[in-house]
Amino acid sequence: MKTFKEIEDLKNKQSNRVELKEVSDFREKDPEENKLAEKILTVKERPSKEDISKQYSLGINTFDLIEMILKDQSKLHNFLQIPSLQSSLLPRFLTISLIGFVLYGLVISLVLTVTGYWPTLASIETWLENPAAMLLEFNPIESSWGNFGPWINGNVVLLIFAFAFGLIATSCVCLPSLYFYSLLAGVRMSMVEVVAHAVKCKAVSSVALIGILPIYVAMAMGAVIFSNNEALISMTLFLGLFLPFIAGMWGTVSMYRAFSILAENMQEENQCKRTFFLDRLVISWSVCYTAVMPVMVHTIWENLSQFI
Amino acid sequence: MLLIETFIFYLLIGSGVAVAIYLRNEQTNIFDFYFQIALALFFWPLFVPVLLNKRDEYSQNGLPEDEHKPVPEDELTIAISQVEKEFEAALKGLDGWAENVLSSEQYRLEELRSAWNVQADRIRELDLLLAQPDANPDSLSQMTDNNQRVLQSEETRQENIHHLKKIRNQMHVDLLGTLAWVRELVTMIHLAKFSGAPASRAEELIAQIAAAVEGFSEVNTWKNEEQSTIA
Repeated sequence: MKTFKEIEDLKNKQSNRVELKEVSDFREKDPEENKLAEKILTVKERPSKEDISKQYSLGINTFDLIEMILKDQSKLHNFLQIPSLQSSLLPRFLTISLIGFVLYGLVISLVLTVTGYWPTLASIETWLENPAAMLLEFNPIESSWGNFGPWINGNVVLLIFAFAFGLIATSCVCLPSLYFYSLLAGVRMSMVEVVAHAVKCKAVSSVALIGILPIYVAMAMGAVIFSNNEALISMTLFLGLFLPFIAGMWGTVSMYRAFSILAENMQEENQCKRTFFLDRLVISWSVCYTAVMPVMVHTIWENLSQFI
Repeated sequence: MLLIETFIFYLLIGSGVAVAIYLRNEQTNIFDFYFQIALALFFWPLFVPVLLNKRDEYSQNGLPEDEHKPVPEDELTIAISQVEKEFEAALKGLDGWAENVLSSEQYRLEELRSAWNVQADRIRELDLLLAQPDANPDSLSQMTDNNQRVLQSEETRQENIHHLKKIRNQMHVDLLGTLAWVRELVTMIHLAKFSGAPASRAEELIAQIAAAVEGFSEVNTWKNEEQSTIA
């Protein structure tokens, strides 16, 4: 005699077989409808909140999160939908971001040391009074320690601190805007959720930054070794300081994807009216962030450099 | 200078938030805990929404509390809570003696506790089912005047009900057996601590308790299947 569980298993297997057959038949009929079939399959495969919580509670460390950022961001988005996980993910994402930005600062400092140039910053007030003056220019390193002067006198620490702290502090400044824009787009999010998404966006950006750094270093080394053109080196160094903006695009895309998933959970009538706001939401926040970030980094860097 | 004043005020607020995070203390790992406090000091605007968020609104597994059924106060609940208390006391008594294994097995231990409750729920469900009148021989079979087909069906029905009772008893025995075993291991942890046994002995005992969760995996699978069917 079969147990109830065995009978249930058998029934489930049979019904799954029928479903799979239906889907495969469906795919053979019309390639145009394949997308719809895939969507149905994706919806069916989406795990429940309990499964996600269980998966998280089985032990996910910071390295696993980095792996997910690189390989499977949809898993991260699933985690972020669980309210109790948001607060525990926040410090981890923050750690990833900090590690990424500190590494970036170290590498840029090394490149600057190799080229023998170090940036000198003018205050924003001076620049506003005289817009012809350069806000940031690269001058040869003058120190009794040679090119290692900035490592000794604390300029390197300052650069690392300005970028690591400034890039994250900018997110703090822009948070209320993101919350406001998400409400405008009809995505119902709590402030914690907004913070978690913003910090996840930073973590993705920092991982992307680490990814593009080797390419940049190779380029910069090429400019130093094969060309003595000062303008070219200066341009390469400027590009280096703007790398966080380029890497930020990955973070922006990741944020857009996460918000798109949230928009899918909205009521159908709201989806038609408000979903197009999503593009504007992400663009507006990116513009806001892009405007605040250089000011923040420059202000911290310039003000603290007065103490050295 | 304006920057210094701003920075002092920023750090003052940050230290307030860091103290709040310290008092909240949700981390099991000490390094993570202090690192989080340091992060809160410098990046406090990100931690303020977390602190202001209603903590009791959601349970540990991320689902709202109202989605959980109220747990009835029966002998199983009392037994489970008693073992949980004894186990908790034993873990607290370790005072960092076997911290490594505790942090690595934390999730399995939590899973074991939830598995006890799931098992107890299943037993209660079966008790309710078996207490219903249709679990007993009824008048339908008596009215049929020796109709062979009806009698055969009734016989199979009684066999299935008997089988259900056996499953219920087995689950009950399994649950009580595991609870008793964990109690035994708990006393062994105390014994190991006070008899000057090496830390590895306590680690071994905790790992054994955590391994008990594997015995309940079947029950959890049933529960998950049931929930997915309802969904």
